[in-house]
Amino acid sequence: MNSIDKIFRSKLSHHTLETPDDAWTNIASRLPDQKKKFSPWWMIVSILAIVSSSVATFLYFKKDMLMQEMNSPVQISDQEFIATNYHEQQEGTLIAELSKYEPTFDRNNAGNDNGLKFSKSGFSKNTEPLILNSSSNLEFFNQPEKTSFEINTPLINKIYFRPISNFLKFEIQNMKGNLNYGNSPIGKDHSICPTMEIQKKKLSLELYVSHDYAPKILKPLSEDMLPYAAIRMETEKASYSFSAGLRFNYQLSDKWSVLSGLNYSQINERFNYIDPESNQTREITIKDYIYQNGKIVDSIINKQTVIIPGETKLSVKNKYSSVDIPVLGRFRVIDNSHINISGIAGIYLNVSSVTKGMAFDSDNISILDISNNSGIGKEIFKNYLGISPYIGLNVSYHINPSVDFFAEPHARFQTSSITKADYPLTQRYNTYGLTTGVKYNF
Amino acid sequence: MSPLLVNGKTEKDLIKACLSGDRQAQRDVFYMYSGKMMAVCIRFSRHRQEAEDLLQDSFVKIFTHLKDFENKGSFEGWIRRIIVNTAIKNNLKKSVIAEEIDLDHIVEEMSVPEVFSVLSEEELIKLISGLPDGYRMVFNLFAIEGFTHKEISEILNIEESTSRSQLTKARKMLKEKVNDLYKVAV
Repeated sequence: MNSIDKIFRSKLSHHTLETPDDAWTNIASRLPDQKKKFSPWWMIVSILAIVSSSVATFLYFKKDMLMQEMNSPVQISDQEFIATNYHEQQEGTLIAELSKYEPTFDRNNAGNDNGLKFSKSGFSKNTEPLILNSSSNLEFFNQPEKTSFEINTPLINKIYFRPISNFLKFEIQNMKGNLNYGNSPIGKDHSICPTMEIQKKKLSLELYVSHDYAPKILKPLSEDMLPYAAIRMETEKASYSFSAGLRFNYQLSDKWSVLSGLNYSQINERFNYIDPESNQTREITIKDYIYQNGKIVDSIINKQTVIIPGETKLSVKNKYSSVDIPVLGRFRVIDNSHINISGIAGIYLNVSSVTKGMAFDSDNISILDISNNSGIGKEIFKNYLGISPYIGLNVSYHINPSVDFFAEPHARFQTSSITKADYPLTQRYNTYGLTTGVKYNF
Repeated sequence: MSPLLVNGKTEKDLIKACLSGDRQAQRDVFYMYSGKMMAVCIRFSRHRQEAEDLLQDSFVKIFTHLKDFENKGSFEGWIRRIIVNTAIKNNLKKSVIAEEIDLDHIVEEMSVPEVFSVLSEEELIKLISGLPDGYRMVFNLFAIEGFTHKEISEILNIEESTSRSQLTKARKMLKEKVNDLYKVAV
């Protein structure tokens, strides 16, 4: 390093200059979108949130239920009544079909040492043993004979009122005594735990969020648009999508129910491209030397102006959101006190569809604003998408009589293109996802 | 590394925030170093507009490749290196250094005009900017950034002798420019 170098280094190595005012704005516009605070973990977090809120709801209702049990009469009216005897599971299942009855259980006047009476007016304090006679339409499962039973109720020492799922369930535990079928004892000196279940009202509300994956289906209307379709498929990649909503479930029968409500879906994609505006014009200088006898005698300078292709990579989030009304049917395959498994199928009626973002235009060079509420996108994308079939498998866990947690793997298929007829490609999405949510039984 | 830099955040905090795409942190980092780096950019460029482009291109690279920073050296040094590399890449794009040098005709050392030491930073930058691309590149890398001729030859894909001759010519041209401007005898 000589003295000139030293002067330059000492003066310039720590020198600072003002930067242009718009420098940061320009840089920021070229940086990838700010990462969301949510990571893929948010899916787990949302599930945990649903589970914890369900548990909290359960605890709340449990407390409420206990208070009800302790303080107020329970009125059950016009419901199907099923009684089940779990006695060692060897005598079969005892079923009481008492659908015409209106039983009442008054905690304040029952459940003490004096026993219970079951009648058309319900359970009440009675000194007489509990008598179930033929007028109660009691039947043994597979033995549809009318019969009567006599249970020595003073020996009942515990009565539980435990609503579950769509049923209110009465359990009488640790009952010591004789339970006779005709003259034959079927439960003598055993712990007999007869259970009676009453089906509740049939309306419920479901709140849910779904984690979706929605691959795109692009089809060119003519063969010469195949390269365009390929470019769009290459530059637009599916990313995490979701939907959320609410729906009412009305039970038509033991097996069938209908659902409807409101659903919001958002299909997300990432459009990655090289900014065509980032091309740079550069002047190239080529100096050719002319040699004579191995020595340079002259030189020729050629200058050329060339366009260097742009290298600026940009990324845009494309959103295809829609609001739909689901009209669905549900068929219960399995339904017990803990779990319900049912098949769901039907259609989604689209109310509105909004697109937002960017994509390559059919010239494969320029960039197209696909927002359908402004610009050219308005002429390309529809605002209404018609119907899309839906199919799913719903698995519900009964947390308490009022609240279920459910998971529902599902698929939804768009039947028509989201683009208008004069656009050279048809664009559809099939959505596959897992819905998780809570169901409140009224 | 400074313990406390911007808005109560250390440099390490800022880097971490930048990695997660925090736009505010990226902005803070840009304004922390943009002044120094603009001065670097202008030395490697022919004019201010080119320097501004270089600065912007470099900072886009810095934020998109920040995950490659391994915290081994200084962050400022890493940023500076990216600026220099981008300048070199741009220079290779825009011009072809294809020069045969007759070392016999080069005088290695010349007397140093005293006027260099009294020139302002802006005047020195102006002198550098006026150098041909190849001279400017080699002079910047050797005299100010501290690269060796071997390193320069590898970076620019030229012979080591070419690097030496470019440097010598650059120095000579700087002296001539000063001489012309200030009428000082070389």
